[in-house]
Amino acid sequence: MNTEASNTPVADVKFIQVEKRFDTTTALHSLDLEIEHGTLFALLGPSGCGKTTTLRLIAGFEQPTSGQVYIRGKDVTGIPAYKRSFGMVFQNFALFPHLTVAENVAFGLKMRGVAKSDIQTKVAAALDLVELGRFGERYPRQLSGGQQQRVALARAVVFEPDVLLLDEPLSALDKMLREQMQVEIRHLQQRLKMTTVFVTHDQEEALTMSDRVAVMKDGRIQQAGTPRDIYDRPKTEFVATFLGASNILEASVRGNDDAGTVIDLAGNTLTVGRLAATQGSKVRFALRPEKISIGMAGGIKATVREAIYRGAQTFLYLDLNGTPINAVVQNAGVNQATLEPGAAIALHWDCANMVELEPQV
Amino acid sequence: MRSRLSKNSLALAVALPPLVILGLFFVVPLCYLLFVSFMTNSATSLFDLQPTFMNYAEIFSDPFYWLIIRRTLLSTAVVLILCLLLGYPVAFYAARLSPRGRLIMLMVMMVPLMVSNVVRAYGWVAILGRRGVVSSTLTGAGIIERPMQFLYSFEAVTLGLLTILLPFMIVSLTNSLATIDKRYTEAAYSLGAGPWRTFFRVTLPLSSPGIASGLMLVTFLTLSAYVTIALLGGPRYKLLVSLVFDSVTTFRWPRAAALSFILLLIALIIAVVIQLVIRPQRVQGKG
Repeated sequence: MNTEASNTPVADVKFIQVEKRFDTTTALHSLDLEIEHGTLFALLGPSGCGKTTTLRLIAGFEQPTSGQVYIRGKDVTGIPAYKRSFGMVFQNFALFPHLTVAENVAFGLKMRGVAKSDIQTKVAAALDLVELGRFGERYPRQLSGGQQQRVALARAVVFEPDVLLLDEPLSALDKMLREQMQVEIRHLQQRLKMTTVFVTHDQEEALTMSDRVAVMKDGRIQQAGTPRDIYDRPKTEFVATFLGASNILEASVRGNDDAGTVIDLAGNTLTVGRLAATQGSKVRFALRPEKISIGMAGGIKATVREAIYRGAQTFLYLDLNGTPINAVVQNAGVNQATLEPGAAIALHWDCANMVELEPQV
Repeated sequence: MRSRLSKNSLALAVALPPLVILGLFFVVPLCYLLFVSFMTNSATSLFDLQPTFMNYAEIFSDPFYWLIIRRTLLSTAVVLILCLLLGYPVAFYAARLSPRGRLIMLMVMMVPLMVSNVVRAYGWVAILGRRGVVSSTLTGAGIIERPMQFLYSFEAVTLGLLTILLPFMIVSLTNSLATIDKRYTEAAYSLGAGPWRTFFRVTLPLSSPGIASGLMLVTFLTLSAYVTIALLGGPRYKLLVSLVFDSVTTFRWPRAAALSFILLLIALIIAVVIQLVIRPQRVQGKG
């Protein structure tokens, strides 16, 4: 397996056709997954989508019903959690309350038979890394939530595991602390270059922190890619609406010309990039509200149904010949008077921002 | 601050009536008992109003009392150890059941406790006596020549106490084990600890509140048990509690009071030792 590693980059975590069933329900449907070395990979989805099951399969807390799990090119299917090499930060941190901070961090080193003198230096280094050098003798209950979080991180990385797993690590923290910890975890991960898999239901968190995101639903990965990819080029309606707001617009195909495919959207003729769809068929597009700009003339005619002033932006709920459409505009030079309900305005957008969605199953 | 204060005073208002009752019917009589224990024994009344240390002095200078104290400590210790060793595996199993299964299991274990102590002790008499089940079976099988008395011994008393007290220990341990978040176990696994090391380094310490409360419960119940000790220990195997009763029946009330206080002191000392050794407070409070 070492020779294999030197030829082609071997993914740090790899799932081959992994299926997981619990009694009658299927949590994962033959999942294929590859997580490259050094990336921060987010598993994003609503509860029950299988993201936590995926994480627990990497850990070995669950074993797949069928398929194989590889960590660093080694088949770990069937190997119990305590014989794998991963660090994990749990939702409630799960710091051992009967041990001090230093003893908590030392636990993994002790279990792996590291020499006593090495344990001391490593624990001190790990605590310094999370800026808790002076807190070694305290007990977890004497620390704040953010400090406990950092101890949990130090405990999970101190023995240099192959993979770091984070199970909704920020959900127990308040909003301010959460945003601060997002940045801290990101910095720590980049410094250690540790392959990290991270479970969250918070799309903003996934976009902010990760190199790659896999959006999951009903035990399947809907789409995987960089945050920008997924946000800008969603493949399905679910991805488009789960990550941020999106207009889902249905248009019918008129035919192709030299510039691309001509479509009819609520009575407006638009030309988008060439589509495979045949003439007369219906195609659905995602269009982000912030990609739409407004003017008085030209463009596509719409009526204002409601305008909500939000300080920096105005949220516009519009009507496009009976089709509802939302836009978000920056309040740089907008004349509020024109945005009264019932006012007619013109919409502009670059048709390249209209992303064709896969037909719904 | 204000709301905290008023919340505290509300809690005090609710707690006050039971506290008053506790004071009236427990603390006051206890003080009276202590007072009586320093009075002179009297043949005609409860006591003679002549302060004396004689009750305690006589107890501590008499080798027979020392024997009984040692015996009391020994049987308590053996009951405690056996309850813990036998109860822990059962509790460990019960804690892994579904809440419903756990409830059923604990209920079933409680059923024997619904039978009166007297009935239960006589049950043991029927089993362990000279003409009891064990003796006649062994005689019939030719293992022993003559019928044997298994009653009135350390073993009989210990067995009798154990069967009553084991459920208390199991319930206490189960409740404690069942509330341990399974993420602690998973955290230990993630750090490379196998099942055994996880048990000894994580699960066992985390169950210390249950161990401590179970041990204390068993201690107090052992020291205050009377029917079991009287029927299974009989005249030959007495514990401190038997001597309290003996003193009462011979109308030496101050002596009985002094013995009660020694018993209370022993209970307190054992409780303190349990707290110091098990240190349950280290896992209490937020994780």
